[in-house]
This record gives sequence, structure tokens and C-alpha cells, in this order.
Amino acid sequence: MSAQRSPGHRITEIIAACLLVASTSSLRAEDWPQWRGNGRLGVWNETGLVDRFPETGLKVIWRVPVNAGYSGPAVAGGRVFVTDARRTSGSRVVERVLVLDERTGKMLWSKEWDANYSGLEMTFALGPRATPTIDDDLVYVLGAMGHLFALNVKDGSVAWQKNFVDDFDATIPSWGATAAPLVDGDRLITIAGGEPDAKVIAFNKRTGAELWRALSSDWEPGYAQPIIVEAGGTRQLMIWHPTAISSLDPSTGRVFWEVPFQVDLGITVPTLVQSGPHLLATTFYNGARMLKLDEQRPAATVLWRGDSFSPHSIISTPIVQGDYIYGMSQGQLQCWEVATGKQVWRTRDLIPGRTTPFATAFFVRNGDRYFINTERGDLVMARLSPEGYKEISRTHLIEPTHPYAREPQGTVHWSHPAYANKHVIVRNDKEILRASLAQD
Amino acid sequence: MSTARALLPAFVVIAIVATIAVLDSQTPPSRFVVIASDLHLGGGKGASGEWLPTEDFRWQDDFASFLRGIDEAGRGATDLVLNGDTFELLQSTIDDCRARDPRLGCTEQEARGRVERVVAAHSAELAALGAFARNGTNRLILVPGDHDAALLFPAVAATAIASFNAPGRVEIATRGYWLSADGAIYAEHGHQMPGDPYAFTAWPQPFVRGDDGMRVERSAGERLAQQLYNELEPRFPILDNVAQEGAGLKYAAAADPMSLPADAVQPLLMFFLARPTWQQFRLELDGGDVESPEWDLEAVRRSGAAVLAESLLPDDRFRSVVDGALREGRLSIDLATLTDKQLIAMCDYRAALRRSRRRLERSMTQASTTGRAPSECPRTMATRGSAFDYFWRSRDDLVMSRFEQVRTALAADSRASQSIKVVAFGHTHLPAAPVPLTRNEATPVVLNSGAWQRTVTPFQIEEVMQERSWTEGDMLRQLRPEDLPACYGVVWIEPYSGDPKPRVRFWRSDGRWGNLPRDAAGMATACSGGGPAA
Repeated sequence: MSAQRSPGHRITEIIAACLLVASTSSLRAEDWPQWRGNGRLGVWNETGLVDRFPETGLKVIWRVPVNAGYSGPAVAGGRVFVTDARRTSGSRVVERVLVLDERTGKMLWSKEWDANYSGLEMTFALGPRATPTIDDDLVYVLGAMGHLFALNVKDGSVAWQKNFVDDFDATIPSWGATAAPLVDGDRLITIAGGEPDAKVIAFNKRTGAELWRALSSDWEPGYAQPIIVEAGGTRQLMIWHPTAISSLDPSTGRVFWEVPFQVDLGITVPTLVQSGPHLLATTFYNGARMLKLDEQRPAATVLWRGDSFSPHSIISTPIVQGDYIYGMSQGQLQCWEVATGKQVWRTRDLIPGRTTPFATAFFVRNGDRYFINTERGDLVMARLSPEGYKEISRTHLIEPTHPYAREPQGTVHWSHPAYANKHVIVRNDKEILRASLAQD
Repeated sequence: MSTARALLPAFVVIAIVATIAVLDSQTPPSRFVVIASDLHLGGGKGASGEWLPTEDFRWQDDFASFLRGIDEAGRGATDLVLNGDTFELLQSTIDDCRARDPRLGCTEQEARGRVERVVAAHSAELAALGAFARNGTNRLILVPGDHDAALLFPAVAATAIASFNAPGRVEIATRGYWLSADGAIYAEHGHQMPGDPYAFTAWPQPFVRGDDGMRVERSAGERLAQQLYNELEPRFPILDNVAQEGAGLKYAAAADPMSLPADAVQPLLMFFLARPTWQQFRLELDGGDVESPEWDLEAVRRSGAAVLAESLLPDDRFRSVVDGALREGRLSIDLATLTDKQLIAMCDYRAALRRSRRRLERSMTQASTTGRAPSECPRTMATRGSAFDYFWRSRDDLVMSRFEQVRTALAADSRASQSIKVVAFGHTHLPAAPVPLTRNEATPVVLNSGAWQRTVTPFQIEEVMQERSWTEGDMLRQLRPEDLPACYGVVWIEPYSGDPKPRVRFWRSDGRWGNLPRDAAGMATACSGGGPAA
């Protein structure tokens, strides 16, 4: 005889389960194991955080000196991973990944390798760009010249390694290799820019064996990060490169569909943003494309192309919230309609005094508000709505040290921070620091 | 001693300092300077009243309006520098320079005859220039170029100067260059750039003694070009209006593969491959402290003549001509005879083409960005890896070499070169925005006015051909110079008290001025956007 439970008992059980889930959720620590955090979404779900920044600034838990680089830190399993480089002579550098204890900042291990930045745009050739990707017991690290390592998280020993130039005849574009490796099941997906037809290469994440390669390298690989989206009843690997937005089957590399989108100078930098059936790409010179993803099969159509007032972002990844897009464009924070690309508002209040069209900020959603790191080194807490930009709080977090095209515009901070375990971890060309965002 | 007397020396010093300060602040600004190039005033119209096919300058009304515009902008205190090839003294429908040696051109008397014909054919333009020169304190300076080097014959110069009817206001730059009174602006035509096929052996003495006296030297480039253009321009009048120089010949080759004589293929190939890359604007890249990727020149030489063909874009209209010549054994270029600099220039340009294709950046090379990218020349192992961004190295090397020659020439003329802030060229017909002389130097800046002609770039032509579904033959036969936008490039330097701020601007018949942007659209944008002269 099966045990029959009363309806009341069942409701009690459900309520208890909900309470348990809610309780665990509010207490759950959240890592930041890759570019833009879990799922590459730029979303941080932790609660129990400050409502406003302290007048005296955030409490810095630790600071550790590092060398130069744009790559953002990643956080997983109590460790902070970050890459940097130091110039040895001319364009020769030593690149490095260093791993710190998340709680204390103590160096746990590091690994170095030689690289030559000859041929890169040297004003910006400071160090690695790609954020490390942590998956279980391996961390995947990519240097600016295409050195790819799979390292054991525990001690930095090499599980396997590749060199995009030597192994795949890649030509590294002017601003370096930038695409953080993407773990998908047993695969590690990389933007290698190799030959022949090896713009994208998937490796066995544990052995480094090549699983598939895809897309011609007749054109540069661009600088956008690969993402995986669920649409049309299947998982699609989205690769945005200077001639198209390409959807691939992540398990085989087969091209599902491509939407042509020619991008001058190959500057495909902001990450593609999916929101429901929409997929947004934005560039500085060529504006935006909003794609409509087919709901029944892997396919897409162009919903709108955007006019001169539509998103024109050079670095910053925009965000989509409901029916609106928010992001940097022409140096200003702007809002547009998802359905049409029509501009709703714009403001210079996020980065006051900054008139350059390249002004950049990084957005991370936390509940109904955003943490925004500006290129001035400020951390801003704000709400964004079709009505406008509402700043809640602002504090100066880190000195901007990245050069800005040798023009008299001052230095900038163009490294995406990590948000993990109630802290923000951010680096510039001199230091990495961890500051608390926990509510007292 | 009273306090007043004690303070007197101090008052005197203060007064002197103040006077100097006032005088300094009252130093009159420099003059307004406009530098135009490559008018190519030629034989005008034929007996039928139609323009001769070889006549490039058909813009009398536009030119008069332009002169009024710069006269107004300079308020009657303008230096107009015509920076070479003002007179077309090479291409002539009358075979009146009869030296037996093809390396010799006109005598002084023969060249004077050609000038007289140009004066007769373009009396209205010369009258407008004369009126401009006579107004206010305006001045007109003619810098000789390769097409009017004969102006360096005294009798030819006198005939030319007299045609303006502006005594004391017109001068020929007999030193072969023009230097502003303050020494800040230097202008020369540009044909003396090292390796230029139109360069004279000696400059500004472009003369060679023949059996019957002194004659203008005919450069190898000129001998080839005149033969080709004399034959092709009657069929394709637009040929010479394609910037940059020589580009029109590729369309002719595609329209009629037999249009290029067999013996022209090899010199044309070398001209296209060793084309100075100094027209390219330079990007903001580094402080000059970078190890550039290096070509493996031995490997390049080992690869044989095929490497030359491979250095053209796969879809270059000249490529099939060269491939054919290779197949038939008509190319006899021994790569061992090419200098390292020539090979580096070729490989740099090939890398520029590759980058232009791979990152959709047509302004670098004026090449279409569609189609396959060429491969690079082989690199040394140590410098493999990144995209090759150093193709302007050849441009830097070239311009710097020329500038060193200029410094030497100026020193010989007892003129200082340290104060030069602007170096202006013409000659290529392709305008180029100001860029520093080399990566390591902030000044002077180098720029190119383009031609005061209606010109069209290859990628503008491609757009027209695509829009109208034209073949190369259609385009060459149907497009006439008059169909091109009335848009003419000049170097524009407003009066300055600090450093001159040169710009490349385009006068347009709609009365507006276009500025040359440093972006992919280049000249096309300048001829459709822009703003008023003020």
C-alpha cells in the first residue's frame, strides 16, 4: 500500500522546500568562473550586498601587485585567477597567469611563458586580454599571442597546451587574441584564427585533442567572445567575426546559419547579447544588428539594422532588460527600444566630463540594479529604466592605468572586474584588489 | 640717490620687456597658403571644338570660382602654390620634340612652343590666375613637376610667367621646391621620391645634352607612360582620372587584354609592386620602439618570379596579364637583382593588401575589401604570429630618405631645414591626410594635395560599375571626366602664429568644402560631405 499524504501535509512540504531554496539562495556563494560570470551573462545573483557604497569607499580586503594586462580576473573554488605581462625588451614580454587565495590574496602559484608582441598595436600591447576560464580542476588560459594552456587548478601543472601560431598557422590580429576559451560539455571552444578553415577550434577539454574546426580565416577572427544560446529548440554556438554572425552546432562545428555583417577594421568587440528571441550585436563603426532567432529551428533574421542613433559600442557589452537595451554608445550611456533600436535617452552622467566617443563601462546586473565599472575606475550602483539613468551610489575603486591611444585624454580602465562571494575583484596594470560589497 | 632714480633701471628693463612682449604679440600672422597640384593644362580643344582626349583640365568655370573662393578666404593675402605639373608639356598631340634618342625630350625652343600652345588653349584659366595674383598682396608660385620640368628652361619660364600678366606676383620655383618665408612649409611635386620611375637624374637640372643642345631628360616612367596613355586615352578618356596614378591601366587591361603591349607588362608590374606606400595614412600604433616582423628575403628570392604575381591581389585586374606573361615566359625578372628595399616594399604592400582584405579596411590600399586575401611574404621564424601592421615602414623609409635629400638641398641653398613643419607633395593624384614624417618624429607632417582634377578612386569606380552593371569596357568607354564629381583637392593652411595646421580640403562646385577624413570612405566622403569654407 502506498503511503497517501494529506493535501495539507503536501502544502507544508512545498512551503518548506520553497523556504529552504530561498534560504540557500540568499546564503549561496557565487563564483565568477569566466568572462562575464556564469553563462557569460553579466549577471550576479548574490544578495546581502550593500545598498550604497560607504562614504569612505569600499573596504579593500587585499591588494596584490600585478603586471600589465586587460584580462579580467576569474574566481572559482576559493581562488582568483588573473593574467599579466611584463616587457623584457622591445616587444618581447613574459606573460603569466597567477593564482591567488581568494580570501587572503596570497599567491598560490603562477606560470610564465615568453611571447613577442611584435606586430600588435603597441599602444595597447600591454598584456593578455582573455579572462581565464575555470572548469572543475582545470583552468584555461589564453595569452595575447595565442598561447593556450590547460592548467591544473591546484598547482598550475600543464595538462595540455597549444600555440595558435605554431600549431594552427594563425595570424594574431592587431589587438591580440582576446576570446576567452568557452567550456561546453567535454569541449573547450576557442577562437584560434587558424588555417585552413580553423577560425574556431574545439578541443577535448581534458586532453587537448582537436574535435572539430570551423569557419574560414580569410578574414580576421575579430575580438568577440563566443557564447552558447538556447534557441530554435537547440543549443547554438554564436561566433561573431568581422564578416558575419555565425551560429554553429557546438558539438560538431557545423554551421547552422550565418547573417552577414561586415565590420570595419574587424572590430567585433562587445559580446553578443541574447534576450529571449533577440540577439544583439553592436560595433563602433557599423552600428548594430538585432537578430530575431527562430523559435522552431536554428535560424535567424535581421530584425533591425539601426540608424546613426542606434547602439555604436566599441568595447562595452550592452544589456537587455525587458523591452529596452542599455549600453555605451558614442561615449554616452544610452537606452534604446529592443523592438526597433530607436533611441530613448542618452546621458553623459555615467562618465561625466568624458567626451570621447570611445568611453567605456562594464555592466553587471544584480537584482533590479546594476554595478557599473567605468573607464575612470569608478564603481557605480544605478538603476536603469526607460525613464532614465538613476545613480544610487558611486565610489572610486581603482586607478585607470591603461593608455588611451597616446592622446591627451588621460588613462583609462578597460578591464572587466569579477563579482564573487560578496566582493568585487578588479585589476589594473599595477595591482589587483578585492573589495567587500557585503552588507554589514 | 632717490628711490625713483634707484628704480629707474628696473623701469627701463620692464619697459623693454613689455615692449618686446607687445611687439611679439603683434607679430603678424603668416599668410594664408593654398597648395594645389597636377592641373595638367594641356592642348585644350581640337579643331572640331571638342576636348582633345588627352586634355585633363576641362574645368575653367570651377577653377575661376575656386580662385575667387581662396582669394576671399585669404582676404587678398594668399600664397597659391601650384605644386608641379601645372602645364602638361610631356603629352602632346603634336610630335614636335624630335630627339633621336628616346631618353631625350624637348629642347628649350620646343618646350616653349608647347607652353605657347597651352597658353593659347587655356587663356581663360591663366587670366583668372593672373587676376588672382594681382589682387591684394596675393602671390602665385609655380613649382616645376615632372610634366613641366621644362619650366626650368629660362625661356620657357619667361613665356609661362608672361602669360599671367601679373608682373612681380608670379614666380617659378627654380630650386625645384617652395619654402615659405618663415621656413615652416615646404612643397615639392614629389617625383623625386627615391625609386620613383619619373625621377630625374639631377634635380632641379633635369637636362641632358643631346646632339643639338640641352634637352629635358625623359625618365623611364615617362617613356612608358606616354606611350601607353597616348595610345589608350583616345579610346578611354577617363583613364588618367583614376587615382592613384596608373590604376586606370588595370581597367584598360581588363577591358582589352591586348591594350597593353607585351613589353610594357614587366615595367608596369614593377611599378605597381614597388609603388611607394607613402600615400597611406598611418595609424596610431607605437612609439617606434617595436621590433617589426621581418620578411625572409632569401626565401622570397628563392621563390622566383611567381612571387611577383602573387603579390598582386588574386582579383587584381592586372593579375591575369602577369600570369599570362609568366606562362609564356615573357617575364625575365631576376629577383636576385632586386634590392632588399625593393623586396621589402613589395612585401610590405602585399601585407597591406592582406590586412585590408582581412579586416575590411579599404582606405589602406584603395583596394576593394571583397575577395580573398593574398598570403604574406614568408617571415623569419622569430617574427611569425601577429598581423603585419608595419607596411608603412617602407613609406617612412622612403619619405625620410627624400627628406634627407631635401635637407641637403636646402643646406646647399643656404636655407635651414629645422623649422620645416609641413611637407606637401602632389604627383600621385591621390590625396593623403597629414601624418608625421616618421614614427619617431612628431613633426614635420607630410601630406598630399591630390590633383586639382576631377578624379575617382578605384573603389568609387567599383561602386559605379556595380550600380550600373558595367563591365570595365563599359566604364572606360562611357564614363567621361565631366561625369566625375566637381571636387578638387588642395592643401589648406590658414594663417598661423604657432605651428601651421595643414589640412587636405576639397573645393566643390556646390560652394562647400569637403575635408579629407581618415576613414575608409576617404575621398568619396570629402566630395559628398563637408562644410562651408569658413
